[in-house]
Amino acid sequence: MIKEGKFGPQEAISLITITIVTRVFFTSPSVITRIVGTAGWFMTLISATTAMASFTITYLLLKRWPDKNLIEIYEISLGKYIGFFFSATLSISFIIDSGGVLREFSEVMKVYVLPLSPPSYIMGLFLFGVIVMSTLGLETQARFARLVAPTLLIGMIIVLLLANQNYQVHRIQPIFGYGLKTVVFHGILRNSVYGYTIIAAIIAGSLQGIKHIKKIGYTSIILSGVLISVSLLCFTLTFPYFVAQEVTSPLYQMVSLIDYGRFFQRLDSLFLFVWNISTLIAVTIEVYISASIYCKMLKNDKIVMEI
Amino acid sequence: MKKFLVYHEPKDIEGFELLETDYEGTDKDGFDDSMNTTDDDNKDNSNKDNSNKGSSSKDSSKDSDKDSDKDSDKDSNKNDSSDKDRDNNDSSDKNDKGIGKNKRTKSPLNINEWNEAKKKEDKNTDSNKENKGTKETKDSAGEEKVSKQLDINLKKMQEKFVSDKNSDIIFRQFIVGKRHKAFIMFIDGMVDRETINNYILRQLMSPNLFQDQDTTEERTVIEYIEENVLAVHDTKNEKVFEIITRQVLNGLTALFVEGCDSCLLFETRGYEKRSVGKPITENVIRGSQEGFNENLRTNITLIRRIVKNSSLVNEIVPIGKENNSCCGILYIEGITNPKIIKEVKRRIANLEVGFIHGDGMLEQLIEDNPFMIFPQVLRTERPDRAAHFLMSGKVVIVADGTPFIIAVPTSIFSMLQTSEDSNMKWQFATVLRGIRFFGLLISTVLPGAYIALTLYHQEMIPTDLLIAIAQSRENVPFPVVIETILMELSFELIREAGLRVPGVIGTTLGIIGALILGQAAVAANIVSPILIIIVAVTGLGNFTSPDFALGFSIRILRFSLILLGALAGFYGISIGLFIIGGLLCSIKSFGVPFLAPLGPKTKGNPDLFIKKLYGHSERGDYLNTLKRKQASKEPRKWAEK
Repeated sequence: MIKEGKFGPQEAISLITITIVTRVFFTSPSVITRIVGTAGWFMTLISATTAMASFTITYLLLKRWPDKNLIEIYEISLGKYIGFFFSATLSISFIIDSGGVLREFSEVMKVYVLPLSPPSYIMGLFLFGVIVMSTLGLETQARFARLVAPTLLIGMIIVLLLANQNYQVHRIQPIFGYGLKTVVFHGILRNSVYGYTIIAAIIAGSLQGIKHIKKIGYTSIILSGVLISVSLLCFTLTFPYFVAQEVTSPLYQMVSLIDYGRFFQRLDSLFLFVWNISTLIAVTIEVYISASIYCKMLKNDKIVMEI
Repeated sequence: MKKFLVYHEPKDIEGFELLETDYEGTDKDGFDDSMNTTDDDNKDNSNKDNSNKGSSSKDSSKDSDKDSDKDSDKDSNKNDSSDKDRDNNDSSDKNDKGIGKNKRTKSPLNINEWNEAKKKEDKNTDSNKENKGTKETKDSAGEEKVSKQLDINLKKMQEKFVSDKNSDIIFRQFIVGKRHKAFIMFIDGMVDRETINNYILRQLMSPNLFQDQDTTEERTVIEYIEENVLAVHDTKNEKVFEIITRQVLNGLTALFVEGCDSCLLFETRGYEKRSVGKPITENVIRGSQEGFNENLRTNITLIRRIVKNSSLVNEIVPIGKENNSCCGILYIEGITNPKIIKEVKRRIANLEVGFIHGDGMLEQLIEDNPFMIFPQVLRTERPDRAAHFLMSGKVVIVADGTPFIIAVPTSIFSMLQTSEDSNMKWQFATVLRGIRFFGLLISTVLPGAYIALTLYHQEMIPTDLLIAIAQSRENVPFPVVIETILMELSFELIREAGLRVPGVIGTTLGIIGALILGQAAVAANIVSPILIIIVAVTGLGNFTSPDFALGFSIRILRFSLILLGALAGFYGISIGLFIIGGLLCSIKSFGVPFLAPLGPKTKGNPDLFIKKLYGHSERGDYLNTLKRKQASKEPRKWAEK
């Protein structure tokens, strides 16, 4: 079996939380506003709650087979061929998702930062970083995520705090947006945003026990839920909902509106570090997990890069 | 003597001769049957005058041509009867051809014939050795041991040290107590002559000191000398020639006595060495001003003066197969993790290198990943830092030849701390650490960030500053990237040149070079003034790094970030920082992650950024020391009510 090293709960929580929260930097807030109006901030809390219930099922499955990862459990419980099919589906879903995130990121970069550069150039540079990091291994990725997580968190909080000059409390109304029913329905439906918690089940061998996995899963969901909710709330307070639906990257726009005198303005480029590094971590782990599932399915000892 | 085939310009231009002078191998190597001669014949011929060569050369050439033709035709038939034919043809060659034995063309032998001839020669050589009666004894491990016969020992050591050519090695033969023949050997210049003259030779030659020697006792003369005669503080009885040789090369003196199967080594080192001076690369304002020098023993002593702990262990191990250098592995028994000690010993013992001199070469051979740009061991010139590392549970390696020691395992945070931090109040030390960290960040990112700002993110720059930058760059013909790289390279040139120029001129050259070069470049509109400031601040930031190797890594990485900043602005720089961060997270130093205790997060906070109020109460968790607790959490017991 491939050796992925071992790391602690803090590393895993940082890794999974960054992977989930990165979505809020792109077009997701606009889409949510389009669906539920001004209630996006608590729709996501419903999604998080639903995701916790889903993770409980995953946790019980892992508890049934301790010291086994999800791929091995697929094989044991569903048999060799159906298990292979499920594993393959999981691997393909991760690689497609990483491709989607990469495309979204490159388009947002092209709109705001590098308008004259072709998307292939932006993606090429991005993939170079992803490949280098993927070859360094899961332990390195987890360690790096833990290392930068506080910085990214502080950066994000600073951005949200500095943008408060544009917050208008009345923009949060109506609180239930397009209706409670819609909010609850879409909240349950969109719990897949927190589906990256399944990473904990795939790398269960590196997480030192089922108790740690439980802690990692629930903590990641709660933390990312809170962060996404706060971000969406700030976004709702900044832009009226009919405007918010049209904004490509609402958080980037929020940063560009920060204006404190002649010196502290147009700080959106500084925000790039937070945004880029978190996206790099997210895409790297998704690519790595996809390759890892592939190797575990075929029982290869060496990671094969699928890029 | 073996002989080699060489070509000599023939006196007769028309003729071609391949003369056999000296060749390697047996007499029968590579020669045609008709050309082979015995050793005796060759020796006789070599002593004769070759005045007849000219007259017989033509004949010999014709004969040799004929022979070579015969060889080509009969090559396949030679294998079976080669030896016999050679013997038979020897005499016929002498009589019939009348040619000088040294002037023959020869054709190569078949490989089987060559092997057979070689085996015969080896047998002859072995039998000769036995006949000569050399009595080199060997133990079961195959090591040669000292013989009881003094002549054999003397000859052995003379051969080993090439004494017929080597003028450094001294063999002093004498009579011990007017009874036993003996000799001492040492290397002139490595030993203290006064010790040898006054405390060794004088006492060994004095018969008075041997009056009480009871010859009926079983103990050897060497043992008697060691216990009763010599007034030397350190002696050792040794039987293996290899070890004796190494010790003599280290500056010890060896005494061999007739009838004793061991030799006595005594400490007589007295070579010239540099005195203890100030550290050159790690200056501090408040702290010890002593630095290591090139001598292993002196360096270990400097450490022992600070760590007066009976559990401080120093193991001397040899390194360098051909130069036989030494290094000391120091650790504190009962504190240091035995696995680290074992790993250090394993790596050093498994080095197959001929020449190692100093810790710089050793570092490259024992670090985890030699291709990683960041250093994985910590080198310091200060004994107080070395002592601090020992007390915190690390292993210190002291190598002979350079005034630096290696401490393992290490982390990047150890490289950002200095001994001054321990000698100052925690507030000052914390601020200094912050300045160092900021300096390191600036030296890595500033040039790339400047390029990214001016090329991609002009909106971030305040308007007034933007106008100033634009005005200053108006007349500069080069793009920002070229300008920056030019200035960075110039700065590196000045830095390197300043190191190589000797004496005071070096410092002056550095300052003047930087000032004049910068000023002249600005006046000539080659670079903008603001870039001079950027490059200067970057250089200053680099100098704040206490560790030279880390600073060098940053200097190299800076160029990659300059390139990435030029390619994609802050986006490129963030990718660069992502890769650098990943590399840092993947490095391990003797099994310990390079970013420990931050990545991975371990228990306790052993003093990373904010200096602890009362120093270290616990050793780092990441080292897994045998004894975690170092001191009480509240060491100021006098302050307790």
